[in-house]
Amino acid sequence: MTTGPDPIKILLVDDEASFIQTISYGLSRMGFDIRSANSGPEALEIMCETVPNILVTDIQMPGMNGLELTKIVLQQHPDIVAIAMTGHGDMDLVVEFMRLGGADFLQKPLEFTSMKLAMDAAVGQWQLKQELKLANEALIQKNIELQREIQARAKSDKRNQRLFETHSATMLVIDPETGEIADANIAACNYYGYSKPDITRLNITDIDTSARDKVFEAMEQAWKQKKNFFCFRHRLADGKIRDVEMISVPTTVEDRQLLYATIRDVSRRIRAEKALQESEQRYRNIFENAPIGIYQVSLDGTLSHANPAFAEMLGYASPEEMRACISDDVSRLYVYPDKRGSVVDMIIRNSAWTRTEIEIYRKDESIATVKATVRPIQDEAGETVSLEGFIEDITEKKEREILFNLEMSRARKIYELVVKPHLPVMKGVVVNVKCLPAERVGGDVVDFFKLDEDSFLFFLADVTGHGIPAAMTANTLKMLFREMAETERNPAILCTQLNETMLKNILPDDTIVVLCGRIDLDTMTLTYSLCGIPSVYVMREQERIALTPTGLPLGIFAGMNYESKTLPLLKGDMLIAFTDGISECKSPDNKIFGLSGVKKNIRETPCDMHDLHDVLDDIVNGAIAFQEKKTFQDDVILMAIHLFHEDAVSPIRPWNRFCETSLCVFDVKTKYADIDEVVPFFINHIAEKLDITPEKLKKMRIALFEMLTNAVEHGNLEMTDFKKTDSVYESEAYWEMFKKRMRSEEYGERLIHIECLHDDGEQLRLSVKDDGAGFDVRNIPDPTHEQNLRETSGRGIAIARMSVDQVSYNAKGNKVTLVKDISDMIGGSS
Amino acid sequence: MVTKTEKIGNKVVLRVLKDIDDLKSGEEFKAALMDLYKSGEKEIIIDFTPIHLINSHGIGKILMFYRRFKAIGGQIYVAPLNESIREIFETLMLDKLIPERKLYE
Repeated sequence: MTTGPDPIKILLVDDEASFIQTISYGLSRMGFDIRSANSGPEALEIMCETVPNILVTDIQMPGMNGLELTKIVLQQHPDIVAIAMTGHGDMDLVVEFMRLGGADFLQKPLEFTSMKLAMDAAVGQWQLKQELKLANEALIQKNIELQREIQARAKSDKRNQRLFETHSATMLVIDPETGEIADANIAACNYYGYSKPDITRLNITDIDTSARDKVFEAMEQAWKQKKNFFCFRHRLADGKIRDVEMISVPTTVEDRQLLYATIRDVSRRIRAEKALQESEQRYRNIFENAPIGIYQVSLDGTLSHANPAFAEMLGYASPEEMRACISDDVSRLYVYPDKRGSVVDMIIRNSAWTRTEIEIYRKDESIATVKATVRPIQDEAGETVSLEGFIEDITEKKEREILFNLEMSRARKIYELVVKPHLPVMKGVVVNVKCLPAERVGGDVVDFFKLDEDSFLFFLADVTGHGIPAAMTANTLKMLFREMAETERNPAILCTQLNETMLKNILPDDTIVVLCGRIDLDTMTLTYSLCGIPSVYVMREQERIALTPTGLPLGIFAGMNYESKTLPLLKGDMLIAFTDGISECKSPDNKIFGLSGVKKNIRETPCDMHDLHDVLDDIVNGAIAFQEKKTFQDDVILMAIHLFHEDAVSPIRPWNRFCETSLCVFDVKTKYADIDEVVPFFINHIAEKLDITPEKLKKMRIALFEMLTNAVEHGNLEMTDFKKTDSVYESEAYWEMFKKRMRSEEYGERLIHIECLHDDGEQLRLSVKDDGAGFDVRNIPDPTHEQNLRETSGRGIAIARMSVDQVSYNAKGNKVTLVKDISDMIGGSS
Repeated sequence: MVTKTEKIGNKVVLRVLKDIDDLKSGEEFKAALMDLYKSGEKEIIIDFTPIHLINSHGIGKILMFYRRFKAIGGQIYVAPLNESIREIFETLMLDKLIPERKLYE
C-alpha cells in the first residue's frame, strides 16, 4: 500500500522470528515497506535510521515489552500509529496499550482478513494525522498572510482586487444585509464548482446549510466585529456537503458595506478528530466493558476510580454502590488489611507493573482470590501519588490449581509406588536403578523378575506423554509384565503379548518403547528385545557393545511378532540402559544433549569405581551441567546391571540400590554388609540428597549403626544367644562363629533391606529389615526403654530411641523404623 | 507455528519448523498431518531438516498417520534426515518403515 511515491513503512516487532517471517511476507505482498525487529531495543535502534509510519508490536516480549516500546515510540513520534498483537487473556495489557495511545490491537493467532482491515484503518489514521498536521500548519500560515493582505488592501484597492482574484485561499464577498454573494475569487469558484456569474447570483444561504436566521446572525456578528471565526457546513455545486471554517471581516467597497470571507475546508480534519474521538471512546468502552476490574487508588487507600467489572466481580451492582459500602477505603476489601502496607511498598519499590495475589471480601462476605496487576503513578517530582491497575478473579482457577496439585501429588505417589522395582537378589549380580526428579509425573517404568536362581528378567519402558494418563498406562504395563513373566521367560514373546494387550489400552497416537531382557547366569547370556529404548550398552573392560534394535515400539500394529537377540556375557560386564528423558534434555541455547552427550559421559573404564551408581551419576551430572538445571522436563530412569565373581574380590560394591526423588532403597546381603562402610555411605548419600551436611544426621547415624548391627548380628546371623553369655561373647570362639556365619550360605546370603523416605521434607523415615527370626516382641515389653541400656544384648533399640524422635518395630521383630524431624535442617547445607 | 505445508512440483511437503518435544507441539503436528490426510493427499513428504529433536509426542503421531495413509493406499515419506533425527529414527526402527525421498529430483 502506498501514499504517493513512497510506500507506507511498517516496523514489525516480535520475539518469535518465524512469526515475523510469516507476517512480513503477508504485509510486503500488500505493498508495505517492512522493517522487523526481534526486541524492543532492536526496534528503537532501527528507528534511529528509519522512522516508520506504523508500529506493529507484540506485547509479551522478554526484556522491554511491547508497552514500554510503544510508550517510548509515541513519546518520540506522536504521528506513528501503533498496533499491538496480543494473546488471549491479555485484556489488561490491551487496556494499558490503548491508554498509551495505541490505535488498535490484534489477537494472536492472526487472521489475514483481520490483519488487512487493521492495516487499512491504520493507514487511514496515519494519513488523517498527516493531513491534520499539514492543515494546521497551513491555517497558521494563511492567517498571517490574510492579516498582511488586509493591511495592504487599505493601501491600494486595485492591488487588493488583483490579490483577491488570484489568491489561493477560497474567498467570498458577501452583503451582510441581504446575504447576496457580491463577488467570489477563482479559488472559490473552483471550490464550490460554479462559474463566477453563477456564484454571484447566489445567496450565502444557498450554500450554507444552517438555518437562515443563524446565517444572518453570524453575518451581523462579523459586521459588528463581535466574532470573526465561524464553523459552517457548505453545499457544493455537485451537492456534496463540506465542513468549513470561515473568517469574516467587514470592508467597504465602492461605498457598499460588505464582508470579506475566507473559507477553509476542514472536512478531513473533522473526520480525523472524529476518528481520534472514536479511539478515545474505544478506550472508554474497554474501561467500561472490560471483563477485568480496572481501578485507581490513592496511597492511603481511597478508591478514586473503578470500572463496573470491578464492582460486579465483588457482587456489587455498580462501582458507586461498592465505593459507598467501603466508604472509598480499599483496605476494607482486604481479608488481611495489614497486608496492604507491604503490598503497596512492594509496588513502589518495583516502580513498574507488579503482580500479586490478594484475598478480598465480596459483598456477601465470601472471600475471593484476585490477581492484581498494579503500578505506581508518579507526579512530576517523581513521587508516587497513587496506584492503578487491574484485578482478575482467580478464585476458581486457584481452587482448580490446588485440586490439580493435590491430584498430581497423589498421582506422583501412585507413580512412585509403580516405579519402585523389585530388585532381584541373585548370586554375582548387582542391580542399581536411579529415577530422576521430573517436572511432571511421567510414564517411565522399570522392573525385574527373578525366574529362578540362575535367571531373571528386566523390563524398562517409556509410555508416551505425561501426567496421570501416562502413569496409569505405566502402571498397567508393569502389572501386565509381572503377570506374564510368571509363565513366560522369552523377551520376544513377552513383547508380542504386551503389544497385543496394550494396543487396546492406549490411544492411537501413543506408543510404548521397551527394553525387555533376560540374563541367564548358567549360560552367561543376555537375550533381549529392544524396541525403541535409546542406546543400551554392555560395557566390557575397554569395550562398549551397543545393543541393536530388534523391533518397533509397542502399541502400533496388531499381530506383530517381536524378535529377540542373544549376546554372550562375561563376568565383569555391565549393562547400562536409560529412557529418553536424559538424551532429550536441552541446554539454555536449545542444543540437545543427545545420545552423543550420554556416550561422552560414560566413563571409559566403569569397573574402576566402587559404586555402580557412579556410572549412572556420571551421565546424570553430565546432563545437569549441559542443561544448567537440576530437574528434568521429562522423567528419566537409568539402570545398570553388573555381573561379578562372588568368589573373587569385586571392585564394585555388591549392593542393589534404587534411588529416586524421595526414596532410597539399599538391599545388601549380610556377607557384604560391612557396617563401617554401609553406615557412613548411606548417611552421606541421604545428606547429599537433602542438601545438608552429614554432620546434621549425626544422631541418625548412631541409630542406623545400632539398627544395622542388630540386623546383622541378632537378626541374620542369629548371634543373640551367644551375646547373652559374657564369657562366650568376649571369646575368640564367638568371633570365629561370627565370621563363619557371615560367609555361609545359610546366614550370609540373607538380605538386609534399608529404606529411607523423606517425601515431605518434614520427616526422615528410615527402616532396617533383616531376614532373621526377629526378636520376641512378647518377651520384651518395651525395647525402647532405657533400662535395656544396662543389658548386654537388646540395647540397640534403646540407643536408637535416644537419637531419633520415634522408633517403631513390626510384629515379627525383624524390622525397625526410625523417624527423625528434619524440618529445621533443610534449607542450605551450612 | 510448528509446521508449514508446501508444494514442490507435484510433491506435498510438510516442513517441520520446531522440535516436537511436548504435548503442544505434538498436537499441532498432529493437526497438520490430519489436514493433509483429510484433504485427500495420498503421499506426503515430511521434512525434518530444520529440527533436531522429535520425541514420543511426535513419533506416535507419525506412526498413527503411517497407518492411516497405508489404509487408503497412500504412503508417508521423509526428506533425507539429518544426523540427530536419523539417530532417533534408527533407534525406533522407523527407517525400516518410512522411506526417504528427496525433495528435489
